[in-house]
Amino acid sequence: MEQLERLLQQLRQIMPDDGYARRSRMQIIGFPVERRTRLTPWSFVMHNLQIGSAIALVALLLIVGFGGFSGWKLLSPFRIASLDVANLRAEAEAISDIQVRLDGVAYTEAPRHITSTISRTIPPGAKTTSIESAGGTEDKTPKPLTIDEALDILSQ
Amino acid sequence: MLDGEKRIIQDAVKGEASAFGLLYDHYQPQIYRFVVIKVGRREDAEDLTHHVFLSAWKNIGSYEEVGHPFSSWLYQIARNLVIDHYRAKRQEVGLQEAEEANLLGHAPSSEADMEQSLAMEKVARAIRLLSPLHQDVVIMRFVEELTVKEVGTTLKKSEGAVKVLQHRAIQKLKELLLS
Repeated sequence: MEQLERLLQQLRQIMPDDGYARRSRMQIIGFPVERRTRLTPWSFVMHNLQIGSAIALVALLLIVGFGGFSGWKLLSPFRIASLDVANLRAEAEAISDIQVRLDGVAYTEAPRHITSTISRTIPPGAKTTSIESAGGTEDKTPKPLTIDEALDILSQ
Repeated sequence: MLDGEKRIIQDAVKGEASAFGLLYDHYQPQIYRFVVIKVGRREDAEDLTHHVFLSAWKNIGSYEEVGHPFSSWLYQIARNLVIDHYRAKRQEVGLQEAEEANLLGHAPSSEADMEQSLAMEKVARAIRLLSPLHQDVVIMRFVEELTVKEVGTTLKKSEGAVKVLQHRAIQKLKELLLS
């Protein structure tokens, strides 16, 4: 029995080759492994906090994306004054005034045109004097006729 | 057991390569001996031992400190890999047995060396004729001189069962060496 034990203990002299051991060690140690962190209450809280904040961020992005950019009007540093409703209304009213004034211009221009037409159709010397006298002799500058006056003259 | 092994294992579990390197340096020779006695070929033993430690390093994160020696975990990986090795190369085993395995790894320099080498190879060959479980008990108890408790932990057997196994294994080994 002792001899057998001695023989078995001799097997302990078996050793791996040094070169092999070095190469193997380098390959194993160089192999990337995922670092493992033990689960502690703090890491558990942090993990849940990370997930929660990620979900909140996604929800915020969705709200901004689907809710439009109405907040931009209030928050934007480049606010456009013309987008103000009161200003727009005032400008619209100003435009209607301009139209009224233009109508007046068209109304006063028309008799001049008619006058010149009449002067070309009526023979010279016949009615011209009466037309001119209708505007008054005191004022040398011809007074523009209205359409009604011109029609009255033509009907005579 | 390695000095400050508990702390080193904790660091290795966290992924510290240098800590695992210390464990490798300490346990690699005994795991290599365990494997080479069981498979008989240095090349196969080197390959398997490499895979034992590579597997251990890959799975170090799942290692749980439950009071068992770290070597038990390595021996369990080694045993499984040797079983897989024999399953994969069942047909080649006969040829391997016929080969002369130079367990010392270098040419004997003297006549005494030669005799010692031959004696070692004769014992190793006899061990390989034992059942896998008897092989494990003989190598762990008498080559590596692990305690009965450590062997029991590794093989998941009671101390009484280990004592019975070692007795039977030695008796069988004697018969094989005398025959």
